[in-house]
Amino acid sequence: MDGILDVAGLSKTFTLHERGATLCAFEDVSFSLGAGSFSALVAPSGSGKSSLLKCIYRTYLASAGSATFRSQHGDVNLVSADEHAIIELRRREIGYVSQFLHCLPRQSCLDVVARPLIALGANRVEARARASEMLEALGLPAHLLELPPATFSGGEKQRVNLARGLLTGPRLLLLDEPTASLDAQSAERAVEQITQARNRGAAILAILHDSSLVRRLADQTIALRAPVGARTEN
Amino acid sequence: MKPILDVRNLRKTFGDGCEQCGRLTGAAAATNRCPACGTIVAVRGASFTLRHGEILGVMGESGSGKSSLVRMLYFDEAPVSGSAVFDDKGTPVEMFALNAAQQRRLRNTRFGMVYQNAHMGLNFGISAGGNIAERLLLNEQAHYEKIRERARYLLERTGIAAARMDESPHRFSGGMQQRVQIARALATDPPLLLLDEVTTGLDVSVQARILDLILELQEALGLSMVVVTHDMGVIRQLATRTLVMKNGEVVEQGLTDQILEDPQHAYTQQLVSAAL
Repeated sequence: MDGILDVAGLSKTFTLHERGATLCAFEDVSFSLGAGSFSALVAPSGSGKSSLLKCIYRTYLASAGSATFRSQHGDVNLVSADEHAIIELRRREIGYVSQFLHCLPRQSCLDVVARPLIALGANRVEARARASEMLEALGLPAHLLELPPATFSGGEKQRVNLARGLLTGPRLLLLDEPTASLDAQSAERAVEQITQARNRGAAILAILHDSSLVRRLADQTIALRAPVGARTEN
Repeated sequence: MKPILDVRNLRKTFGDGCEQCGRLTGAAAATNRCPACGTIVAVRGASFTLRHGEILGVMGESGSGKSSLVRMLYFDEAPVSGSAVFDDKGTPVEMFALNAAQQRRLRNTRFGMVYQNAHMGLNFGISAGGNIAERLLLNEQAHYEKIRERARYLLERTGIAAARMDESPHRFSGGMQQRVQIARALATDPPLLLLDEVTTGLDVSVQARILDLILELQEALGLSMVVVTHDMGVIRQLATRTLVMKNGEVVEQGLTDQILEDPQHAYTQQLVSAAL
C-alpha cells in the first residue's frame, strides 16, 4: 500500500488570549493513510476529530507534530508548508468536505459544484455537465440544480458539499460526517460515490458516527482519546 | 512561480521620527503615534507577496495602516523605506527606484485603483465615459471612436447602461459610482487591481452585486488584487489569503479560512469574535 499521508505526533492547543486560557483539542496523534484506503476516525463528540481534519487541511494551525503528504510533486509537511503550496494542493490533490456547506452566496448549486473544476481550467459547459452528473448520482432533485443552495435542506446541502469535494478527484479526501444529515437511501448513494473515489486510489479519512458504516467501509479505524493521544487499530 | 508583487519592509511615517518611534508605536504599544516625537508610523515594515491571479485581503480597523499600504503601491504616497518588486510582463521592476514618469506609466497602464470615496477615483467634472477616456488618453490612445467604444464596453461590462455614459458621475448612485471607478480602473487591462474599502458605505444588496462583479472579473480576466477592507464578509468572499494589520503593523497573515477560524494573534481573535 503506497502511503499518501503520514501524521506524526500531531497536537492542537488553542490559545484564547482574551480569556487567558488554552484549550487542548487533541494531542500526539500518529497514523498513516495508504492510497485507495478508507480510514474512519471514531471517538465521542468533543474529542477533537473535526479539529484533526482541519489541521490536516490547514484551516487550523497544528501546535506540534507533522502531517507529511506525498504530493505528486514530492513530500509536503501540511503543518508548515508555504500557504501558496497549500492553496495548490487544495486545488488539485486534497479535498475537504465539512459538516456544513460554505459557499459563495447567490450562485446556483451547479456553479458551486462546478467552480473548482473551472478553476482547474475545465470548460464551463463541461464542468457544469459533470457537476450535474455527480449531483444526480447523489440523488439531488434536478429542479434544484439552478437554484442557490441557501434555502436547501440540510441533507440537500450536504450532497452539494460532497459533490463539490468529490468532483475534482482529490488524492486525499477528508470527510466530516459525510452522511450525517442523509436518509438511508441518500446515504447509500453517498457511500457509493465515496467508495468509487477510494477505488480510483484516493485515501479517505472520514469522521463517522454510524458504527455499521465503519464496519462496512473502514480498512482502519483511528480512535482519538483527547487529550492523551490516539490509538490506531488495523 | 514568480509573484506579481513582492513587497518587503515597506514603511510609511508622517513626521520626522525619532529613535524611540520603533519601540513606542505598533501593535504591542497599541498606537501608531510616537508619544515622544508625535510622528505617525502609518505602516511599519509590511512584507507580503501576491501571486498572479490571487486575491489578497488586508484587514484591520481604521488607522491600522491598510489604506496607506495600498496607496504606496499606487504611488499616491511615497514610502520612507522598503521595496516592492512588480513583475511587469516577466521583467521585475523595483517600483520605488523608478523615476516619476516610469511610475506614472505603471500607475496608468499596469495598475488599477478603486477608492472608497468615488471623489478620489473619479473626475466629477466630466462624464462617466470621459473618466474612462481620460485613462485611455493617458495611455496614448487617441482614436475618438475606439475610445468611446472601449468606454461603452467597460461600462456595460460593469453594469452601467451605455446610454448613461455621457452623464456626470454626480447623477449616479454610490454603487454606480463604484462601478464607474471599476470600469475606469480596468480601462487599460491592468493585471493588478488595488481595492480600498470599495463596498464600505453601500447598501448590503449593492455591496453584494459589487462583490459578485469583482469576483466575476477576477475569474474572467485572471486579475491579481489587493483588497483592503474592515469587513470580514468581504474577506471571506473574496480573499484566498489575508493580512491582518494593527497600528501600522502586520500582526498576522495566513490562509483566509485559517485567519477566520483559527486566528493566532490576540487582536485577530478580538476582530473575529466581534464579527460573530
